[in-house]
Amino acid sequence: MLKIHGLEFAYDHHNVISGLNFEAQSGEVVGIVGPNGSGKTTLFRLILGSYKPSKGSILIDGNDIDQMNSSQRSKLLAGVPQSPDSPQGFTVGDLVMMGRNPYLSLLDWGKPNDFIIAKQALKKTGLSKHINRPLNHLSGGEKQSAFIAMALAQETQILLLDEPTANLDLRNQSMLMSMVHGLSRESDTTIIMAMHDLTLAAQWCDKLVMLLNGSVYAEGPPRTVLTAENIDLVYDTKVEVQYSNPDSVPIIFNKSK
Amino acid sequence: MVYDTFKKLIYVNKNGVNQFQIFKRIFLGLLSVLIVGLVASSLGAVNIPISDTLAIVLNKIFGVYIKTTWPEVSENILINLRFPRVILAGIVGAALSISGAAYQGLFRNPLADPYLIGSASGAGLGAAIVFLTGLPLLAFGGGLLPIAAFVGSISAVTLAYLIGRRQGVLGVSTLILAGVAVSSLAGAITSLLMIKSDPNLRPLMSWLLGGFSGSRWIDVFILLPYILPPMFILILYSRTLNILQLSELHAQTLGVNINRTKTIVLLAASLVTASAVAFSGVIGFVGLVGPHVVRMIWGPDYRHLIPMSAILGAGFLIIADLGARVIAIPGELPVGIITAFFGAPFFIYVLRTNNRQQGM
Repeated sequence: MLKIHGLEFAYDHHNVISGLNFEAQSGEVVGIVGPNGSGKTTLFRLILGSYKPSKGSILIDGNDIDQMNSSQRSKLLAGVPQSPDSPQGFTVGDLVMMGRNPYLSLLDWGKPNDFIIAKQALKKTGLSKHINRPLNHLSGGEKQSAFIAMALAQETQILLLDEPTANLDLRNQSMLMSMVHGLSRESDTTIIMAMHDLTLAAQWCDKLVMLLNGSVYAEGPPRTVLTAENIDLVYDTKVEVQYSNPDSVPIIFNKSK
Repeated sequence: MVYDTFKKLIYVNKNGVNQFQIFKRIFLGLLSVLIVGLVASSLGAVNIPISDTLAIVLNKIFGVYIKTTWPEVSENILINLRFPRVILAGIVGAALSISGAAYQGLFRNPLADPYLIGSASGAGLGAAIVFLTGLPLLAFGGGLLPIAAFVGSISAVTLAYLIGRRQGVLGVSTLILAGVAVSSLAGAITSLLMIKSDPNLRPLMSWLLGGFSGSRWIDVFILLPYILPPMFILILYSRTLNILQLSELHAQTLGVNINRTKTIVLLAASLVTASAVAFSGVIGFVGLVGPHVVRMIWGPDYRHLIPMSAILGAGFLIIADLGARVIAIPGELPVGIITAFFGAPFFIYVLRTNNRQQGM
């Protein structure tokens, strides 16, 4: 379980994150939404331990990640950055094996068990038959899946995805989302995603956290967070929220032209 | 038999690089370098039949009893002149090439080369200061020269890195531009020191041009302890260098301690470069040619790139030095001319293919 309490982070004397609180349960898919500059990527980097918070704490099962070194953190938290750099000439299999790094010493290149875990990660992401393909021959959706497979090979309880559907077409968007959703259900992994597409977020997330100026503006199931009033205020743009039937997820239309 | 037992000891991953495959390549590579070295030793102003060379190696170095049928002069030439020279060229080639591969991995820049990013010129300046101030060259039981070269080398690389990084992201060409600027500065200071100092510049001048004439066995024995441990460290970090090819933040989430890794690899690569430069002078492009030939043959995985670069670099510089010895008989060319003839077109090729891939 992830618990963030009173989190603050300043960059160049400017508060990017101020007094942020939220929790994520195991097996939950949490969408972080909010306009550009609301602090989504900074929040991710704080959770992953790339940045040090100025105040507050990030706890995983009660342990503060600030007290851990990068090796300990990498066994609890995995992350896929927005459009990750793919190293030239490496294959999908090479990349996914890099996900085993937290468990390997310098001269250990992987024991049979590590290869089994890497292959399972490829199977879960539907990439088994691409194991020997070079990364730069993959389509956008396959590449994103390969990076998710690498993160899965880390065998962490929390997986952070920054804009996983950016640059993907409609078909690949829904394929990736349903795969990610399946992962959370199968293995009880907490998945936290930064999302721009609110309708897509509503469709696939159990809970949304809406950020404004570095703190939580609204939090809860998609139906309660994605109201026209909230979106108008947080994104500063006029929208209409519709439901195709009373039980469906909200669909957001932009009204400003 | 031995082959099969060995194969069982190491887990062989059929879907990727494995240690068995790499040990095999290293073994075959070393064997090839040995053959190249023996052939290179036989050729020169005086050509010695390869059979005599082999017999002399077995008899004089490995102590195998062989009836002396070769002229004594051949033995003298090989033992006192050619063997130390070829071995030193091999070690320096391995050193420059492995540090090139390490810098390329560390800076995520395929053009990084100890010569181009200022490391070699920095080492040259450090060494020149020792030469010109008349300090004892072999103080502290080993060499003041390698230490001064190391300080110069590490300062120059750090400076180039900081200048290159100032521009925000560390671009592929920015580091090279910064390195060239730092190199020029170090070169200018070296020249200034030379003009201001004692008129007897011959030893320094011939050293700065780079080359292996006058190599002695003692040079080989002094150089090895400086070069082998950092080379081993670079091989140790080869898998981590693969992960560094992702962005730094990404590598960190995979449990890589970025600062520690960068510091260790930078120190090791600079120590290797500096020790090589201290004994051979500034020789360019070996660090570019070695790793890129390895990339063309076996791909970019640093687990074979690091060790195989050393082996190819050794072979390359032994052949280049052979060229330097035989092309202008009875004279000799500076070996840097030969490496530049191969290296400069290579640099242009890498620059062009790399730009195409990155869409710049």
